[in-house]
Amino acid sequence: MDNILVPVLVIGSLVFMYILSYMLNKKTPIPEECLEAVDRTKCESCHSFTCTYKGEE
Amino acid sequence: MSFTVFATAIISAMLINNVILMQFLGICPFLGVSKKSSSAIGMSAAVLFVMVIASAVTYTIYDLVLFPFDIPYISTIAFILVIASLVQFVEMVIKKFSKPLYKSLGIYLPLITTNCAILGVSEGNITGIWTETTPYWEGLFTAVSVSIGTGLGFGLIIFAFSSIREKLDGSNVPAAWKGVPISLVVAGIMSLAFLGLAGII
Repeated sequence: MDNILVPVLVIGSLVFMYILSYMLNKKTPIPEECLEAVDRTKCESCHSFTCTYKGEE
Repeated sequence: MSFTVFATAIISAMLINNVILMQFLGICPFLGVSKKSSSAIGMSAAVLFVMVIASAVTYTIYDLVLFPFDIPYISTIAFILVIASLVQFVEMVIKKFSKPLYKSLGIYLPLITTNCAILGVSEGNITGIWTETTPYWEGLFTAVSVSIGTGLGFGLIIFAFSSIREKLDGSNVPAAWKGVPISLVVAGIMSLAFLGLAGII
């Protein structure tokens, strides 16, 4: 029983850590001066063939 | 723990066993984020940053948790989760405390979660450096040295490749070779060039 319990506990705690860090990161607001760079990167990396904007003016 | 170990690990990981050209890890950012030199520098700085922290954390977890509890077979899944959590945590801390750093590294951090070079270095540290008899601090020092060398090697190659690609954009390349084909040829020639360094150390 212990053979299964220990790895399950370790992986469970790591998954919990990931969820916690993900939630905390999502809650932290992006600095205002970086919003433009983040939006531009998201736009340039979407690779949507139907979009004609492609992050350019 | 000496300067010789540090220097050997750096040169070996950076030039002789280069993570991209010799181990073929991290090919996705190598091809995807190497169109501009500025993006290449940002990406390589973010990779170096996360790689060093991830190596230290994964080595510690293996030495203090996975091996003592006799569960080294879950190392891959544990390392994936550790790296993913670490990237989220680092991004949060940078977002909160260093806006200039977030501006230069932040947009590349989410891409690093899926970068196999980070996982490859962490796994390589366990298979190549960790032994039952190696003292913890000595192993950790070597692992961190190797990760610094690997990160620098990643940066060197991705920057050199991006510079070549920028130059190629203005060159007269035959239509069939434009874009990805000529880039892959360049990558192959770079790999052959680095093969010449094999066996130096």
